[in-house]
Amino acid sequence: MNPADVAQAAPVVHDMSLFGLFWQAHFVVKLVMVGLLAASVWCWAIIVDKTLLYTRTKRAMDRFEEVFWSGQSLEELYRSLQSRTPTGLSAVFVAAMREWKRSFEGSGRSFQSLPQRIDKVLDVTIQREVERLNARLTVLASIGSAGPYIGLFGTVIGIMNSFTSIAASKNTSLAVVAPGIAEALFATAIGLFAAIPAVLAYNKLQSEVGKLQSRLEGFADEFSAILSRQIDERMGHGTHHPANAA
Amino acid sequence: MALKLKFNPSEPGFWVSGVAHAAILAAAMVGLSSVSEFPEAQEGIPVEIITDNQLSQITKGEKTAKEVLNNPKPRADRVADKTEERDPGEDKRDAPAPPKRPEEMKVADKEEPVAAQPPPPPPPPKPSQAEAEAKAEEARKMAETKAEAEAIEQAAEKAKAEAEAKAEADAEAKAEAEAKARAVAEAKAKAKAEAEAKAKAEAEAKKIADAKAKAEAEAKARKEAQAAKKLDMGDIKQFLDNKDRNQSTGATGAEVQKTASLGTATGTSAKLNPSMRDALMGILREQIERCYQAPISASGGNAMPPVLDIRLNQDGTLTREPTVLQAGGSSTDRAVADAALRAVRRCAPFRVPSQYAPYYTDWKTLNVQFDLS
Repeated sequence: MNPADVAQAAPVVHDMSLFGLFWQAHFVVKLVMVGLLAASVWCWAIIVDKTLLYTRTKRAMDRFEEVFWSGQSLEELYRSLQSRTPTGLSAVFVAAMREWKRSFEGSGRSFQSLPQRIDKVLDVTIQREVERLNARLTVLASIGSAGPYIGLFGTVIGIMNSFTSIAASKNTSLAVVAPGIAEALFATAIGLFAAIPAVLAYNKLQSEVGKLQSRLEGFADEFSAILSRQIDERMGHGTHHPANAA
Repeated sequence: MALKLKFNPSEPGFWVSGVAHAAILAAAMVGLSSVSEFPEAQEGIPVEIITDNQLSQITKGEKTAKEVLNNPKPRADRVADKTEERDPGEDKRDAPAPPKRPEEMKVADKEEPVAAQPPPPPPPPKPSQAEAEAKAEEARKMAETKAEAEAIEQAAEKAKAEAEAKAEADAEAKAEAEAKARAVAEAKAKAKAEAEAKAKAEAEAKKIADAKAKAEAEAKARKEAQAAKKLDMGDIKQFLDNKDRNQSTGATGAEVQKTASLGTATGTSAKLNPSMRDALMGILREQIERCYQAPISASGGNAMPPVLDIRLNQDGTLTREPTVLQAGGSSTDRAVADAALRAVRRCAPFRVPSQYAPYYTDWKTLNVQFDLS
């Protein structure tokens, strides 16, 4: 925007509505505002998705644990879970069971390092699950930390621009100065509007992920203990299927 | 991350968030579109609150001056060189005199309508001339009457002589008659000559007198005409003086005052100096003390002295009832205050020495700490 144009447009009554503030702003400030608005949309999309995902995951874990500790045969459970893509606890269970089964299939029975392998598989699966839960949370963190700065950048550009306009119009009355500054501050407002929920949600979701992770690890430890007991029994009494482990 | 624009029931975040943002933006545009204006700022007016006492003690001076002088006056750099003081009842200014005319002109003007008439009786310029003329007239008249009487006598004599002569002639000789007739003729001729000479002399005298009067009148008229024509500087000056002259003397005050006193342009208060004020207070306190009867409860001497508001007229009477401005809270203090009020009321016409009369505005309102312990 040319300062001379602004100076000419200065006497025009400023539209102080939200759209007016946006439309009269400098190009860079406009870009910042649009970017921050998009960031806010994205941020809230992530918040909604993650909240739903964690709720779903938690419910699935509850259901799986109920089924797991109900005394059902592990073989049956494994077979019923094999058909769909497992998540959460079921993924951990399926991964460990698959490793177990592989050890008994084929010609050579390799029991020697089975507990270590199972542990490894469990670790990897937990890591993968946590990574899945954690995905896109960094976006929230970035928006939360960078949003105010981006907004401030828009404000500084806007105020610079409005001061140039004031210098060009040679009029320092508050009626001339105020609209430009209001426009500029609007950028900071949008930045804060995007950043504050992002920061709050990031902290909340992070703690949720931590809780889920510890729950996964607890289950993995318990399951690996059950499996190693089964292995020891097998090694002692010959080959048996871990039919009624629980 | 690639946003999937297809709706995924397990990940509805993008759509939910987008719709929510659109809703919030729409609500904000509707809700925040009207800009509320600030209430109109009212400009403050500086107000100075002064008490009655201060109002009546406003001194004459300037608001920007530094202090109240002993003799408060506004600043004046110049005074008039001369001041006129007039008796009461006289005009403040002299009315300028009307332009004067020369004396002769006044007379000529007055006489002119009369002189215009065909028979101008020239006024006697000199009493001696008038007298001479009157004498001449008289002489002439007398001569005329004498001549007439003589002529009548002569006629009668002649008739007598004729009758005599006739009778004589009748009786005497004709020669005698002739002689007599000759004598009569002679006498007649003589008388006639005498009368003629007399009349001639009279006519002559009259002619001279007329000519003289005429010449005098002419000379006078000429002189008057000249006087009227002559430029009289004194008259013109007076004519010019008839216009109002500038009355300003350039004075800015009655007397020179190099330092202005603190005060207003209209204040007229004269201030008591501290010693005079003290003396006046002493006089008043002494008068009040005589009327004061301390209440019994105040005999302890620990009562708080009340402050009274006393308004006085110039003759020392009270303008209005005295009031208590400030008194202690205890019943003793109130009793003392009431007693003080009674004392002030009882002494009501206060004796104020006449030397304080010019400072009335200063002691019109008195706030007295009534310390009579």
